[in-house]
Amino acid sequence: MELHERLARYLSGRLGTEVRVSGFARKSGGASRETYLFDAAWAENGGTVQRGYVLRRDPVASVLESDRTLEVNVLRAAHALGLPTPKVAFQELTGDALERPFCILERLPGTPTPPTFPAAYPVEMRERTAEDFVSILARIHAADWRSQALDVLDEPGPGTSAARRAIDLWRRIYEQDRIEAHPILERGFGWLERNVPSTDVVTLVHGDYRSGNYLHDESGRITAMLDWEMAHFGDPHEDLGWAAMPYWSCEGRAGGLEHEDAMIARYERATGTVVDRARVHFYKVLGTVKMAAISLTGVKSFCAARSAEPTLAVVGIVLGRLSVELVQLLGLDAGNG
Amino acid sequence: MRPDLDDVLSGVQRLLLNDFLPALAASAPFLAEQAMYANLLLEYGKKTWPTLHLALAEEHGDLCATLASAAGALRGDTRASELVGAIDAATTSAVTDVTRTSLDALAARNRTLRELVSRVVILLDAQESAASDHPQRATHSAADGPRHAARAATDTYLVRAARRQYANLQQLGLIW
Repeated sequence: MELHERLARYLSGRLGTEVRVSGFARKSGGASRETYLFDAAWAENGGTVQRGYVLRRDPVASVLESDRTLEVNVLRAAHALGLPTPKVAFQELTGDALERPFCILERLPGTPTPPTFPAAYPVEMRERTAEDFVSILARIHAADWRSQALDVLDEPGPGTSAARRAIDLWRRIYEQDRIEAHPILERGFGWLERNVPSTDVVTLVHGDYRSGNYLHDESGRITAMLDWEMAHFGDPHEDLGWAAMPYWSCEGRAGGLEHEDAMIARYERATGTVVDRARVHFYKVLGTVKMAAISLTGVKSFCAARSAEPTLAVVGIVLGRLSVELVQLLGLDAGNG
Repeated sequence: MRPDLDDVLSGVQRLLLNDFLPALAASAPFLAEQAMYANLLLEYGKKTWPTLHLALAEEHGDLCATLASAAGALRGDTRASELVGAIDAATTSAVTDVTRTSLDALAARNRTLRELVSRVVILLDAQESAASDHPQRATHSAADGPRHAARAATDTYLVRAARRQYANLQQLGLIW
């Protein structure tokens, strides 16, 4: 039985009526989950209900092995807090219905962007996206997450433990998934461990807040923030550092949206806080080694023949860009002309 | 001898682009995209393969020189003696004649040497952290000079290695 047929059978069972699935198509991107778009239709109260959904199924192999329960719980909390996120319709933690665990989200309107906002898009559109990008981030950091049932997430508390926890996590993933030594990443981790910042404020950190992870309408307004699987409690500077990483930048604009200084100034206005530039730099370095570790997870899956997806090989080759960016962030190229 | 590697990979590319992609574009856009990436990787293979032995030989020479410098600087440091011994053992059997070495063997040797560079970086980081844990030390100790020399050797290597990796990425043609 084809996947879309099994999906229709599952939905029919859950809704207690025959559900027809149409327009079922796998979507590119979503490197940590297989992502499919589809429409479901069923009879209700003498009429026909038709809704758009997104199926996110665990992959055989991916660039990021993350916790589905965490993602779903955070999504539910974000939705309850009024943040622009898709509503979780169904979740299955076993492979009984579709071979692997999955969740089904209600589809929101909007178009995704590549990992950097396209330079060819109109300037006014870019400005609106830049505005929403920061205002939604400010709302995420200000939201009362502790009012939600988020027991799946530990709170590090103020001080250096948020940063230390992040370093330890990504070093562990690097050690676990590297199939050869990467001296530049060792240098990056060493620098991070000698420069651990302290924070007084602990908020929910989206963990993958960047261009490529939101939907926008034709005017540039952001309609949804996606990909919450790396969410955790930590230093809000972490999201700023990740969003401003050179890896997502284009023509000097963070995420292809606006210059980092403008983005930070906008964030300061939106939150009424003062951003610590040194901490943003720390989290750019952390983000760069984190992205490298994520890429190495994909490379390992590809080289071990757990996946044939050529994009997993491509991310390995693209490590060259991360290496150059890390060299620059650490200032190693000064005097090495 | 024809077909050579370029002929073979080009043929597979034609199959992907002229037959698979059009057939998949409408019915299975995700698979069509995968076929496009597969084509990109084949093109990358075509571009890198002819000079791969030169690239590996260049990296090999750089790794040997870097490790020799680092080991030279750390030779008097008792905490580094085991690592210096491992570097000496590895670089003594250094392979430099690429005409007599298979690419696989050379790549494996480079991996071993890169692992040693990583160990030097980790050692230097540990020493630097230990030094910064004692801020009451008013003057630099005698151990700082060799440590800085070893750090300079590995850092300049990291810059060159990153540039080589980036040049390699440019062969993929996926730059933004």
